[in-house]
Amino acid sequence: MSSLANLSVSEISDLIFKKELSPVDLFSFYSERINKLDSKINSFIEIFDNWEEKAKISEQEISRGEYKGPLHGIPVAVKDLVDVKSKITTAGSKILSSNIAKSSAEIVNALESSGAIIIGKTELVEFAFGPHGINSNSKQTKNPWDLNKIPGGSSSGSAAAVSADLVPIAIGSDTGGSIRMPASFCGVTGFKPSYNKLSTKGVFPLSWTLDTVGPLGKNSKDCSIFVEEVCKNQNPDDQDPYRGFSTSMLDNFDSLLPVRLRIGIPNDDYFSEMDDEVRKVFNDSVELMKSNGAEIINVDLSWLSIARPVNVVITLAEAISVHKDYLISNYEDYTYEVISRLVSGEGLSINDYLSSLRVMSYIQRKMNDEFNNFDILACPTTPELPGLIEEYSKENLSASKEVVGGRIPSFTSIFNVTRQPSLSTLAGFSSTGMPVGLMFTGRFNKDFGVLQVGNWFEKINYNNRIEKPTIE
Amino acid sequence: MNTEIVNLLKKKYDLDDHDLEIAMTRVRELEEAVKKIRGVEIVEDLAQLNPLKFSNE
Repeated sequence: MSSLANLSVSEISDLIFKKELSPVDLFSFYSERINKLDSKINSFIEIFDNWEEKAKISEQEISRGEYKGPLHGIPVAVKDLVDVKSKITTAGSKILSSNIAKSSAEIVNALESSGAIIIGKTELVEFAFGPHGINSNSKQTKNPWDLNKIPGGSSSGSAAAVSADLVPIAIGSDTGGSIRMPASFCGVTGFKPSYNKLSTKGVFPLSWTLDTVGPLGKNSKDCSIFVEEVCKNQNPDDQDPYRGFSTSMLDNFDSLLPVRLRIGIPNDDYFSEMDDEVRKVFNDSVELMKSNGAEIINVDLSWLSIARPVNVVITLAEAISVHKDYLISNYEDYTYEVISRLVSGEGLSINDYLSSLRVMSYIQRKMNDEFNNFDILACPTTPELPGLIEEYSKENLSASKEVVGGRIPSFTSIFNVTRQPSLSTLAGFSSTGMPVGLMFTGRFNKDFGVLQVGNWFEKINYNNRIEKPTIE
Repeated sequence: MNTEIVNLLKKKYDLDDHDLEIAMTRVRELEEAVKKIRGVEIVEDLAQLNPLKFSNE
């Protein structure tokens, strides 16, 4: 059953629905694969011991005709800052090594209501605070495409696990690109929903103004299934679950191809600053979309470069507040890469924070107007390729006059400030065989449209998506 | 600001030299960020915007 590794959630669920595959088969296949391969990439912190039992219960439910939907029996991995009842949530930190969750996060409850099986916790950057995927408190997650390279972060384990086919889909969180950056570096699809679309209740916060949760999967269709099922099942007291995302739209997902899609391509100085390898893949993608009927509209969004510093200030100001007690009682237990980042926020004033919030509001208004000129915005997910893990050692970071890898969130972090839905999908490869991601961003609350365009692009770009990492 | 921050970080967190150096690259990044945000405030009149109310809620 080795081909099972290549199947997407939608393909697996079709087989489950037809009773040609069972959740117990999935348990056998994926648990064996994790046991055999995860030691090479270190993507999981914990595999839950009740997975097989839950798979058997799902199998019985389905055989009795109690099929719950496309996630029934599907294994889902969870970034370890999301609470699962009675399990430890470490948030990737020594400080929370015995922090047992009293209840599950809303997103976990919603997924379980949809029949998904939560199989375990994945690695992350300590407290989700960093784009590179470095965590010196862990065994260090590696990029399945090159084990010497960073996986990207902060949802490093979720991206690496999906990339290596150790799980078909996983939960990530995104405050400045933490779903999309590792998705790009590991060659999978990651979706950051509109702010507040999916509940963050029970998710350890980094910045309450910018935090989002969402899926990392094999493709946009799988991410759509995930978002739709969570929207259907999350508690309406916390969210308006159907806002801008009608359920059952997936029935016509493949046939809903965009007609005369207007794609905005930023061609200003800010968005043009990228590595040549990234530029080549991006230009090829633009040509491909054009030759498949899309109208390409070049736009100057240089004014939007202010969103990156706004993200930095808001995230730091709120993170300092979230961590104020731990910073007093446990500062020695933080990793070097996160403590040095957190404490730099000590110089911020209330004025700096409130000014950033005002500028954020201004950016949102202006960006909503920009979208009158195009339907969707496309740019590379990251302006550079993943670097070597060894470049992020304490000695190297302290010897550098600039933030190492500081350009990586340049594009992603903007769309947390605008709060728009944003997706990264595999566009192609560098000359050294590393994945390069393409990012689509849509109007606020038009999440389905972004996923639909992602699905369209993945179909027309099929030839550039068939390679797989070889860690076996 | 740099000297003040170095003294504060040394006193409050007892950081070793490596941590302090890494923190200072972050402090410089943050100072640049704050400078840019203040620049927007000067160019655009944002005074009427409630900092706690967003278009995209």
